[in-house]
Amino acid sequence: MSNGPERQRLDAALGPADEGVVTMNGVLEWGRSVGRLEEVARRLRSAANAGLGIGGQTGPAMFKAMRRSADNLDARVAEFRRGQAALESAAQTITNIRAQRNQIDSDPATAPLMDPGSFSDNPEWDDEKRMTEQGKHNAAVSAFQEREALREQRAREIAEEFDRRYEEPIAVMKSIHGLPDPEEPGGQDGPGGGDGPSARAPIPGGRGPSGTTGTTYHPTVIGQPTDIDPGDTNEVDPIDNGTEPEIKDPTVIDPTVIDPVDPTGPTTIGPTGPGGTGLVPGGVGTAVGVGLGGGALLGGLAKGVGIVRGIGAGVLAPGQQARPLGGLSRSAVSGTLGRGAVAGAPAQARPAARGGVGATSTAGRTTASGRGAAAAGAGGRGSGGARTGAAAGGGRGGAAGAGAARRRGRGDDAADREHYDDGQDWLDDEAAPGVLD
Amino acid sequence: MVAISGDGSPIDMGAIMQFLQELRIDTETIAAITEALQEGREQATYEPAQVPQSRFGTLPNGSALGHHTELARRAVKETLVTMVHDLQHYDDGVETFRKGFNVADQHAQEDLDRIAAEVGSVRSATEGGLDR
Repeated sequence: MSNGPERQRLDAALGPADEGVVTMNGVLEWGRSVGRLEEVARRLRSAANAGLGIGGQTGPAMFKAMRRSADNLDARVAEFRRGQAALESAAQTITNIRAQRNQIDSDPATAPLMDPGSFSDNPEWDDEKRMTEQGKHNAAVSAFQEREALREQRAREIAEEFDRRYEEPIAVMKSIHGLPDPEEPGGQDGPGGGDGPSARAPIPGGRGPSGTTGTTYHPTVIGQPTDIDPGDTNEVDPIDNGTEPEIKDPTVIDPTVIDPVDPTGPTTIGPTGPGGTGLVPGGVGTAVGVGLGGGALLGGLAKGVGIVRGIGAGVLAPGQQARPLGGLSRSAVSGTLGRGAVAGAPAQARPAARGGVGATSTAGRTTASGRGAAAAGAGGRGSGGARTGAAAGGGRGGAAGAGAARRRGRGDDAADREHYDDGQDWLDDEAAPGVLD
Repeated sequence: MVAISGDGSPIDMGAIMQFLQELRIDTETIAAITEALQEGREQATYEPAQVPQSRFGTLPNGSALGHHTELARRAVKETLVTMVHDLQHYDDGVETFRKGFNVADQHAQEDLDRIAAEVGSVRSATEGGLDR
C-alpha cells in the first residue's frame, strides 16, 4: 500500500510525536514542580504567620513581605498550572490525531483500495472482451484514485487539525515564558516554506470531473524527517542548538550613589562611648533596639527577597550591576514575584548589607541619641561597606534606621521605585512608622 | 515612671520598658520561621524534566510548541531556583534580625542598668544631703 504525500506528511509528523513522553516529562514533571512551588507558598505563609509572633512593627512587616511573596508565587503557580494543562492538551491531541490517522485505514469509507496498476492486455481477448476488461480496469482505477484523493484530503485535514490544536498550548507557553516570538525554529516547515499550503503536492489523479482518468498513480516518495528520534528522551536540547532566541547582556543599571550618612548621626546628644550615659529622652537602648530590629530585618530581607527587587537596586554598590535573573529576559522571579524585567539584588551586594547590620549595633551603641543612633546605624553600614551602606540606606534597609539617611533615601528612591514597583510598599511606613517618622 | 538623669533631664523609664516589650523575640518563633523557610527551600530544590521538541510532532506548530514549552520549562526551573535563593535570603534576614536584636537587647540592658545605677546614685546623694 502506498500513501500520498499528505498522508506521508502526516505520518512523518506523527512518527516522533509521543504523548507518553509529553505526559511523563511534561505534564507530570510540571505537576511536580508546580506542586512544590505551591508547597513553598504554603511554607512562606507559615513563616509569615510565625513572623506575626514577633510583634512590634517588625512582625507585621515580615508577615506582609512573606505573605506578598506567597501571593505572587501563587499567581505564578496558576500560570504554570495552565502550562501543565496545555501539555495535557497537547498529549491528548497527539493521541487523538493518531487515532484519526489510524481511522483513515480502518474506516471502510476511507480504507485503502488495491492499486489496479496499469491495464494488461491479453492477446487472446477478442475486442468485446478487451472493451469489457478495459472498462472494469478504468472503473477500478477511477475508484482507486477517488479513494486516494479522499484519503489524502482526510490526511491533510487531520494534519491541519493537528497543527491547529497546538495553537492554544503555544499561546499558553508563550505567556509563561514571556519572550517575544523567536525565529522560526529550524527554518523548515515555516509559513511559505516547503510545507506551506502553496507548496503542497497536488493530489494525484485529481478530484472531481476535471480529474484525469486512466492513469496509474505512483506517489512521489517524500524523505523522512531527519529529526525522528524515537525512544530517546535524552535528546540534545534543540533550543540550545541555534534556535534559541539570543539572550542579550543584562542591562546595566547604574545605581544611584548616595553620600554616606554621617556615621555619628546628626543629632548626637551627650557623651558617647562605653562610659557615656546617653541619658536623653528616648534612651540609647531603645533607639538601638528598634533601629537594629527594623534595619537588620528589613535590610536582611531586602537583600535578596524576590519580592523586593526594588531594594535589590537600592543595595547595589557602585560598580555593581543588576542583572536579569536566569537566561530569560523575563525572569522567573520577576514573574514569580510580580516583578519587572530586572530582578534580584546581586549576590555581591548582600554581604555589604549584612555586614552593615553588624555595624549598626556598634554605631548605635556608641551614639547617644534615639534617632541619632538609628541614623548612625545607617551610617554604620556606610562605614562597614563604604558607599554601599549608604546606598542600602537610601534603597531601603537603612530606612528603618531613620535619620538623615532615610530622608535622603526616600527622595532618591522615587525614581527607582517606578522601575521596581512591586511589593516594596511593605517596607514603607508600615514597616516601622513610629520609628521612622 | 519617670527618672531623673544625672544632668537633670527626665527619663521616661516606662516608655523604655514598653518599647522593649513590643518586640517579642523568642527562640521558638524564630525557629518556626526558619523551619518553614528551610522546608520551603527543600521543596523548591527541583528541576523539571525536558520534553524533547520532536515529541510534539514535526509539523510547524509541533516544533513551535516544543520550542516554547522548553522556554516555559526554563521559566519554571528559574522560578524554583530563585525561590531557593529568596527563601535563603529571607532566612538570612531573619537570622540577622535575631542576632541584631540580641545585641541590641544586651546593650539596652546594660544601658538600663547604668541608668538605674545613676538614678540610684543621684537619689543616694540627695538622701545623703537630707540626712546631713
